[in-house]
Amino acid sequence: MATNPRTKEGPLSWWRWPSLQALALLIIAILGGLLLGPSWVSELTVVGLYALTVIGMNLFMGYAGQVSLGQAGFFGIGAYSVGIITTQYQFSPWLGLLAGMLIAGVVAWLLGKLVLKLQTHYLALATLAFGMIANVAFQALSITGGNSGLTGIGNFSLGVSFSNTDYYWFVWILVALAAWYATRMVHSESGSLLEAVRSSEVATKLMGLNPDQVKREMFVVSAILAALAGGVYASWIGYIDPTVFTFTLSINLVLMAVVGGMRSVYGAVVGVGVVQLLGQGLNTVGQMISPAAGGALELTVYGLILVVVMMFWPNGLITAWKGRYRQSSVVSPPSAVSD
Amino acid sequence: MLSIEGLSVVFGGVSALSAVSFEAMPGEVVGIIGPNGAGKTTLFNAIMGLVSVNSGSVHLEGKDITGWPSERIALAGIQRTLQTPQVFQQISVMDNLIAAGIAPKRPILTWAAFRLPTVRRFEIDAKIRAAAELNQSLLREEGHKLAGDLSFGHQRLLEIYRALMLNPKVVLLDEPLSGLTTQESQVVLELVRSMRAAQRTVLLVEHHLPSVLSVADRVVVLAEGQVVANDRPEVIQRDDTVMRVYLGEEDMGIETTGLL
Repeated sequence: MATNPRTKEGPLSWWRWPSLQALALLIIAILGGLLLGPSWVSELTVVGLYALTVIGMNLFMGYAGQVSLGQAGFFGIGAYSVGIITTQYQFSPWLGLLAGMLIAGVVAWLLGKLVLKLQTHYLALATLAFGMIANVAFQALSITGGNSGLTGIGNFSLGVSFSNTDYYWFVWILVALAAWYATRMVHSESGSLLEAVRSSEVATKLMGLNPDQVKREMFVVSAILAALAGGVYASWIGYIDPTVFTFTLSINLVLMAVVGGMRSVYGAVVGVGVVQLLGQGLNTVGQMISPAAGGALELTVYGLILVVVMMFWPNGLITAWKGRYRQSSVVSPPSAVSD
Repeated sequence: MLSIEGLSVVFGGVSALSAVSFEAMPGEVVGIIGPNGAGKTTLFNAIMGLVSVNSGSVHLEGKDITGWPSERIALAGIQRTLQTPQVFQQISVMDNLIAAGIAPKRPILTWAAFRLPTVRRFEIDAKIRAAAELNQSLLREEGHKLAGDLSFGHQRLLEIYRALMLNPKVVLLDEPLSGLTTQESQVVLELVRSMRAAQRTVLLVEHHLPSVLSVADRVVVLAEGQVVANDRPEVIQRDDTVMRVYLGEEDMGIETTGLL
């Protein structure tokens, strides 16, 4: 169940300090990078990229209580920005990364103006439509290379070009920074407004704040983080095509958010880790049984994971773990006890 | 001063409020009574900009606020509580109050994450005010609790305390006593009196007639969307039409007062 981060007296317990938590994550990542072999490093780079995206989604979905089924669109905007800038214009991928984040932020801001007034299901459908439109655009435009996509996307470099391991470090530094930012926001006094918006939009209005403002900010933040992850992904992998940035990716991201726990910043990391590593493992097992079975098995098990998590830990794994000592309190609207 | 003039609200051809007019002064408690469906909650929603008004106007201290969005009306100085209390469940009681202290500033949360001094300043201010308010409240021992874990009555109280964090000129209380224990009801009535002492205007919609009559300076009786009486409680109490409107529909705890 939800934990209460701040006591009446104010300060957080030391193990909840955002800086310490981010540092701990970074240390774990560094140890992982040093101890694990190259295939693990690549695998964990993917985990980090998705975690970066899901941290943003958790702010928008878990904390602000909205739904987005179109994050793959923003991930794609980031990826294509880096791709286009380095292959069509020969500029630095760093510039592409910044451009992608900026474009995604502006698109999310404009889209937010249009769709954030919609309630849950309608909002979900509107974001779904955005994701699909973005995917069609990636396929149809000549600048994005159409269906064949873009190849030879430039590497990041700081003096020397990034190696596979450098990407790993870079990604996990970004994850730690994003987690630091998100926990600091959630634990700040102003962060209470996220729960205000999630809990009651009417009551938020009555405090003089238009809930759309908070929702839009979180939507923009989630889009920028997704674009950041997408941009780094494109540069790391070196080639992209529209089949990567589909509805399936958006759904997988939601699955990861749900499995980890949407109301938890570090739940993002746990959720991505569990889903991605389990998925990869199953893919390998499936391939051994029959080359065609790999993907199918993976998909089936994703479905199963979602069902099991929703049944037993509806608030996600990390929230279940955090709440193991705490009497769980069921979150439900207060019953209308009236005369 | 809150002044309501010729306020009409129509829902799909059905008239919920028709030409309702009355005024309420600072430091005045106005009870609003009437049978179910008389339009009491609609009146609050209309004042607060939560439903659109077909005709008429609402003025706050001479300023026409009709048709303003709710958040702007809230900033102008009107607060309301809801029949089903809407507390922010998954944060603490203290944070509920802090949220009300911060919301009017409409902060960018990203700046809050980076603890920018502009945001920090009013965060600290909200925290101090929330702590002060909490200390004087019945919830002083429960500040660290999640608001969703409070009893129903305490959630109602929290909603009122939260409304007071915005230092409103006008407070609209929608059935603040329903579902409360006797002791909690006393606390709410005491709060209403202290609002009056602080020169706030209070509009009180409440089914429990004895409580309304005991605390109100004036009582407005609504029936089928119209004002049928507007007078001092002791006059209302003796008014046959009013009592027929009431007793004809349902007994609103009138028997508990003995005679009326």
